[in-house]
Amino acid sequence: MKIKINAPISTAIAIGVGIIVLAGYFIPSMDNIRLILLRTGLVLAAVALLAGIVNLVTVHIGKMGKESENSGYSLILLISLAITLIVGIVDMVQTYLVGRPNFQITNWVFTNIQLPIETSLLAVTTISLTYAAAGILRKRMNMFSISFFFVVLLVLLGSFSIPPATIPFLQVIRDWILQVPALGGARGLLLGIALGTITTGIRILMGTDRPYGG
Amino acid sequence: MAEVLCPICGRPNSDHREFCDFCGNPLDGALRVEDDSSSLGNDLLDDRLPDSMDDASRLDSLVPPPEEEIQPINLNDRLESEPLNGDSRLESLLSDQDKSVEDPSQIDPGHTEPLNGGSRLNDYLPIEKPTSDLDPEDVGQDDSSRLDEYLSPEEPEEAPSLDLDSLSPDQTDDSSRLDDYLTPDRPQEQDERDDSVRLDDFFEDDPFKSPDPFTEPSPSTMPESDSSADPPTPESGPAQSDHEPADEPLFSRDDLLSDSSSDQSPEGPEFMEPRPESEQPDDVPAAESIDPGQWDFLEPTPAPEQPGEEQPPESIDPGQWDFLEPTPAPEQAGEDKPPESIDGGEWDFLDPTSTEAHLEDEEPTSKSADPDSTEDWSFLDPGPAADQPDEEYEYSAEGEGEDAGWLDMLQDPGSRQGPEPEPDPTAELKKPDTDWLEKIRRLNKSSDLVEEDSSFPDWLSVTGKTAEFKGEGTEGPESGEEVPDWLQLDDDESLNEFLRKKDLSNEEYKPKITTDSLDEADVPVDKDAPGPELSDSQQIKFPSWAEGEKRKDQKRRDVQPTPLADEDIREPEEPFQVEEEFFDDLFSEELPSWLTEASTDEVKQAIGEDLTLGELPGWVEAMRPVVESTDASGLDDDEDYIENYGPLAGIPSVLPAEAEIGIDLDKEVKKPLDLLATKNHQEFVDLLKKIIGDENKSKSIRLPSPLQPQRVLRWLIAVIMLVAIAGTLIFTGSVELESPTTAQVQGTGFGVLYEEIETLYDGQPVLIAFDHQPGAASELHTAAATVVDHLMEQGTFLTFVSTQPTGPALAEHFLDKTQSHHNYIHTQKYINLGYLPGESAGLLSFMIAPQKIIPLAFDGSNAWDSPPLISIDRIEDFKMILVITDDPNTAKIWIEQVGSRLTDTPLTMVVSAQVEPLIRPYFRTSPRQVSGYVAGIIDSMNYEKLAERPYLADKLWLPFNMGIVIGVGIIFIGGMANGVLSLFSRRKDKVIGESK
Repeated sequence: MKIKINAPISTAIAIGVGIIVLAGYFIPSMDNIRLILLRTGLVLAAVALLAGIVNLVTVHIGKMGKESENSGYSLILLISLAITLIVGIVDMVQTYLVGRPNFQITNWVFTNIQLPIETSLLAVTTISLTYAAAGILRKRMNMFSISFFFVVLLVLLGSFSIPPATIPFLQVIRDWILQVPALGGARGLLLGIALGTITTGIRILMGTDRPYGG
Repeated sequence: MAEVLCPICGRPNSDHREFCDFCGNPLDGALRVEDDSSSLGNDLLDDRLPDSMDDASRLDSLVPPPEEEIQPINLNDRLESEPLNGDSRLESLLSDQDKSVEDPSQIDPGHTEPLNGGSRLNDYLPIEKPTSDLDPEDVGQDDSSRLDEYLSPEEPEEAPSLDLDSLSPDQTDDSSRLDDYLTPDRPQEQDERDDSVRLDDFFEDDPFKSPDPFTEPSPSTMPESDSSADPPTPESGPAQSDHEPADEPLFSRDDLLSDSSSDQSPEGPEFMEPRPESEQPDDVPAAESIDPGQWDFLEPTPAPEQPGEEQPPESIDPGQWDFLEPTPAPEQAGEDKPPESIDGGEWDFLDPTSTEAHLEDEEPTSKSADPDSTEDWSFLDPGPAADQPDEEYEYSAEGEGEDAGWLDMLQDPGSRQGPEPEPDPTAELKKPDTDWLEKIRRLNKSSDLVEEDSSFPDWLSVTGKTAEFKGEGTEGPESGEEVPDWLQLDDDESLNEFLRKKDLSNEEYKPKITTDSLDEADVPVDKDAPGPELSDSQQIKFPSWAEGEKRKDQKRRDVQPTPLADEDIREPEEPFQVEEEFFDDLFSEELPSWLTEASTDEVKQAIGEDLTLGELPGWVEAMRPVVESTDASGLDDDEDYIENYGPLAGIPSVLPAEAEIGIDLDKEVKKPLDLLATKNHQEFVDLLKKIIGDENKSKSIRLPSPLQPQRVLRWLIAVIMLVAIAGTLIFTGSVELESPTTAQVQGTGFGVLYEEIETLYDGQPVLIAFDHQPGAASELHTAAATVVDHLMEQGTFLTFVSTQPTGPALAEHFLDKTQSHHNYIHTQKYINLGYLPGESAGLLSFMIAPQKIIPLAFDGSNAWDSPPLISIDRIEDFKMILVITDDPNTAKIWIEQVGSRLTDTPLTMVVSAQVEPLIRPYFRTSPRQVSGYVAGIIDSMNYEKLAERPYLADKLWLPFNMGIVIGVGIIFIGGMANGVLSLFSRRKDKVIGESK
């Protein structure tokens, strides 16, 4: 039988830190202790980001070695990562050495590459959603699909606001849908999320749930 | 006048008698005693008695105790306090022939040659050897065959063949009597020879025999030497055999005094100076022809063991041993009258009763010097004096080679004397003793039975009696002059009596013993049997448990007077006989009689009649496999078969262990089932069959619609939307919308947000969080532009922070693209704090201590040195918090982690249209967790209308609406088309299904 020594240690740390941070909401004098723990957590989160970058590189290097169809994409990703890292280091060097806070290269890359790409992706999503909404009745002809189909049309049509083509009835329907069913659904969803979060917090504090492993 | 001593009873008879007048035993081979030689008894009583105990013991067995002649003579003047050994008995034997000799002067001076006990024994030993050449068939019927079992078969062959004529009856009788200890039931005549041979084998290595030609005379030379060297004496009768000079005087005075000290006799010098060996034949008369070396045993040193090997052959006069010839002397005419020359006291050692009497009269050594005292002969009593030689012998035996105790008993008692004054003789003694012991060992090895049965050596053991005499010996004045106990045993009258009875009634006595030995009750108690006279060597054959009782009896015998002792001692005869029979059974391969009788049918039948039939217990009965069947097969209706073999044999209804291979499952399935199935059951069965059958059928899968039409449709949708929106943007301008009414603005998110921003003034710090993805930048930037513009219009100090890595860049991009006209300079009008890791934890820590969590700005400058931020210690110090996000989870984190701790600072949001449903609940709460928000382009358009600053939303409103219309049109058209197609397809499938 293999005994994991780190399991009880990590569990004790998680429970202790959780209890201290939770107590800080109710005991103001414990803010300092809680702050120390939170700052430590922030550092660890930043390091985790670096660890994530290393993991990303490792995974895609492994994919490049294999004869797979997506090896090209991995190569592009690694090249892009390297370029962005170099650009960021150059901007950081210029900022801290020259004393001129100007991330022009980084902003250029972000504005001309990353932002249009992600915006285009969202635009493609719009086309895909439109196509999916158009074909929903062919895939599954039932009450829910039909309701979904017509709700979409009503909300879109209720958003339309070009005088004289504006249909006030559709705006009322849209507002009712947004304020009543959607709001109710959203509240229910948030309550569910809140209960789930509380439960998860209790489980972590009790050591039953150990997402940190161990 | 010569006498012949009966070998059985030991009583003297006239030499012309062929049978003993006392016991009727034939006197062939009996010991012949000359009257003249009786004087030699004094010689025998020489205080320098040697240690040749073995010879003496054998001679003792040969010589019967002359009970009627027990008259001690005054020979104690020749005795010293030196302890006597077993040889003293030999001397006593010889001294009875010259019983009248009290004065050394009366001793024949011709007997200058010292008599050696060993040499005399050697006369016996070679003579006994020829008996080994006897035909085994003659010996086979001998009871002493058991002794042959001890003897290796090679022994008789190795022994030199001797002339049977040279054997004297006495010699054979002596040995036979020893065997009689072992085999009382053997044939008499054959035993006499066989036993002697076997005894010779035992004593083959005797120092008296081996190297000395006198001790080992060849069968041919022995008689010759007797006849030639020994001049015939006038007492010798014509009936004497050729080889026995019976008339020859046994001992001469010189013989007796040759080895004695000069102080003991005035003629000491004559005795002490043995004549040259070359002169012996001439000087010594016939009676004096005894080799002086033969009398070495009379010396205190263990002389008898020396001369056996060292004495020159010339010093041996075989004729000196003629006195042992059984030929009766002519002078011994009457048995009633003992010979005058023989002092009865000399024969005390042969008479146990006299011995007992002497034991009581034992006196110190000084007293024993009195020649007239009968107690002088007490030294011949082997009882009290037997301890010392035993001890000494044991000492020497251990030094020899760790011989067994019983083997030690067989050794020459003379060798038991440990501390020898002369080392050389001692060393010489050991060798013959060792050889002798090895002889016994070799004999033992020849028979495993002997090794296993400890009773074999016990017949020679005398320990029992020794122990008894040991106590008495301590009381006696001559305790120092101890005689070996085995001497006492041999002198025991019981032994002689036993031998006598043995010789007389052997034929009748044997069968009774052999057949009825096991049944003690049936063993006839022969009063004449030599039971009481059993020696310790015989008694030792008793089991250990009976040994104690036997010792008691023996002790009682010793204490009681002599006449009564005979009757009392006869009692233990029976156990001896039984043990002997048992001893025979051990060496016989045949079943003993009691076993054969027990195995007879009669016994079995008798046993069977006595036994009653047993009854099985109830639980055993319950375990029995009971087969109760009604038919002939033994099976019940519900039983298949009965197990035929194995542990379950006979038990019905047992699952067979054999694998039922070869069973046709189809046939088994086709067996008709007597089930009552209703229609429902039958339907279920049919349904099950159908389901199972459908599982085996392959399903035809419809091919999916070709990908190319989907792609075309997607491209078509994209192109339509792109063309419509682009055309709208390009070819159409702004849309003039009406400003929303107060009722329409009140209670809305953009309305509240607008009011909150309106409350801000110049220089107040406002925290703006850019927590959205770049993909949502178009929507959010359009929605946030009016709000941020409004803030900038209010002159607030903007602080940008982001929980997303791309947030700081988006902020910069937002300011650069939408708020460039405000000319906000970093660190002067705004500060970009950069990325805040840790999501909720980061927000929580940032809420507590923003300066500590993010001390530096995005560009590395001091973020908190700006005047608006100097007073910022907590997040509540910001006048407003604006979160721009497209993620409802991020909005929720901000609301839960930051909004809950804010009291006066409004938390506002600019979110995408998809997040509005999740933000609205926090806005609809009271107090509002979200003070105001702007969701999408529609709220942004409303906010611009409210602020009366048309901006991006106004520019994008028509394309936005165009896109909604196109989208709704595509979804509607496509949905309707797909719906109709779906309905047709379903109907078609239904028609096809119905047709099938």
